[in-house]
Amino acid sequence: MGDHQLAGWEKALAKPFGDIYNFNFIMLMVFTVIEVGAVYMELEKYTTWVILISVGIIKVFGIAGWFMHLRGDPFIFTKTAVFPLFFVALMIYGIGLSNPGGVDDFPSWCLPPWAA
Amino acid sequence: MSEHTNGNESPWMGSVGIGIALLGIAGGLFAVHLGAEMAHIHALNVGALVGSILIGFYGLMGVVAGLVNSSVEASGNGHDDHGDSHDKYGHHGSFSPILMALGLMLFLYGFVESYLILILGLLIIFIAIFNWWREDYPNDGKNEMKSLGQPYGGLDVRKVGIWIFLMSECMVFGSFFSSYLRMRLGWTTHWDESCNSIGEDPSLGVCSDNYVIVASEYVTHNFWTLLPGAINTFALILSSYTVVLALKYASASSYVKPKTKLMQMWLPDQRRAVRNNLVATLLLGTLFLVLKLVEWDHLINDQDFTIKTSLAASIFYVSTGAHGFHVFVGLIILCFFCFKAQNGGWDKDNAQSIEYFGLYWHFVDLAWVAIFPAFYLY
Repeated sequence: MGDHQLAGWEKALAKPFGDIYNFNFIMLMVFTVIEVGAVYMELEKYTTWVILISVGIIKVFGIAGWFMHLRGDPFIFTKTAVFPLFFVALMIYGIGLSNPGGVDDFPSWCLPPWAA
Repeated sequence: MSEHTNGNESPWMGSVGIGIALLGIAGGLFAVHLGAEMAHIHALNVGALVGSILIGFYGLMGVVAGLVNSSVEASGNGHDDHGDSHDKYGHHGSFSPILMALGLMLFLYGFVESYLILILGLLIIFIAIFNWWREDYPNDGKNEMKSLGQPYGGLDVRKVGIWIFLMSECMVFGSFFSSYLRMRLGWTTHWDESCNSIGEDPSLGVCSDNYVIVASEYVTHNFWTLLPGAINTFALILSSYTVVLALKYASASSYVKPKTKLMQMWLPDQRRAVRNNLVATLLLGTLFLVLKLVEWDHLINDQDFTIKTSLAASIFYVSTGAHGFHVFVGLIILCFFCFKAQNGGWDKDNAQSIEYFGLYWHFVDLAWVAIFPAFYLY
């Protein structure tokens, strides 16, 4: 998990900051400011979506890749991490995007007592 | 450093002393809470109450750590021998996590059933923590169990285990997120309609009947309501960084002193560099929970946005509450790590335990990367 296992472009990024962890920390902070700023500036709906999703992907890469050492660890750990994402994607599609009754057509047994 | 001592005659007394000092601080914070309640300073009142509960809990953990240290000393068990059977593949785990899960189940069940079950659950949790810490305290990392089968052959079993655990957690948060996404895309919210939804601007007109108020409307209402969530995001990122630094210092074969005087004061030697970074993580996690509950209190008492208000409120509290619970579990583990670090218990041979805890902590940060924009910002 040390710097010696990083690719050339990662070493180049890390060099001005001392090591990749310092770089990653600063990058995460900067992108969080962008995230909060994008919402605070009240941009157009889809522009905000694009910014938030892009920033989210970059932050996930930074945290999982460098802080969690997936970059540099045996590739089987990356495979392990990616495996459930297939099921999460399936859930988001199956529940999130394709179920027309998912908002107001819940059966009563599926609702809490105050909402049934 | 595997002798687990910082040079004191009785390191366990040190842990008890720190525990009692923390209980004193918790008492002071509780007094602040009472004062703020009388002065009707709401945010300080809630913040001091939550802070006093958490720091009091750390104090109790300090006493537990002292008992653990003394029990390890008394048994002369200063090396990696967990008291259970060993063979060339290492130790065979512990019943403590299962006992702790049982205690947790009773504790949570007690919330709706009775205080007796709640107290019984807490008691079992404490016994399990004591035993678990007692087993893990002498771990010098030399008996790390390796996986024999494929596809993880040759890798640390604990590392594989924590990754698989984290992936099951991914499914838990994925189910929260997907159900929220479905409901959110079907609702008429402030994305679709500009109206006087939270009663602040009558010129915007009345909302339609099917308009749904989501938490982010209250949170992004002004700078001060957005501030706790934003601070929390920075606190979690910073805490992820301090865990990484603790691991970096613990796994270093030789310690290089920082160049600046300020950093030399903060990180004077290897033991304190590890300890201070772990303590910083603990404090940042505590700040996260305090601010989260201050924020919840604002939503519940000032905005009347409770878990029963709507499905939007329900999914907000369940998702952010589940995340907060994960932070709390991380803080319990961190207590042990801090007390072990205080006694010089971490070095390059057993630093992988910090890495495995770090994986959990970074996952909590990852979950927040999804929760923060989805539930708080938009």
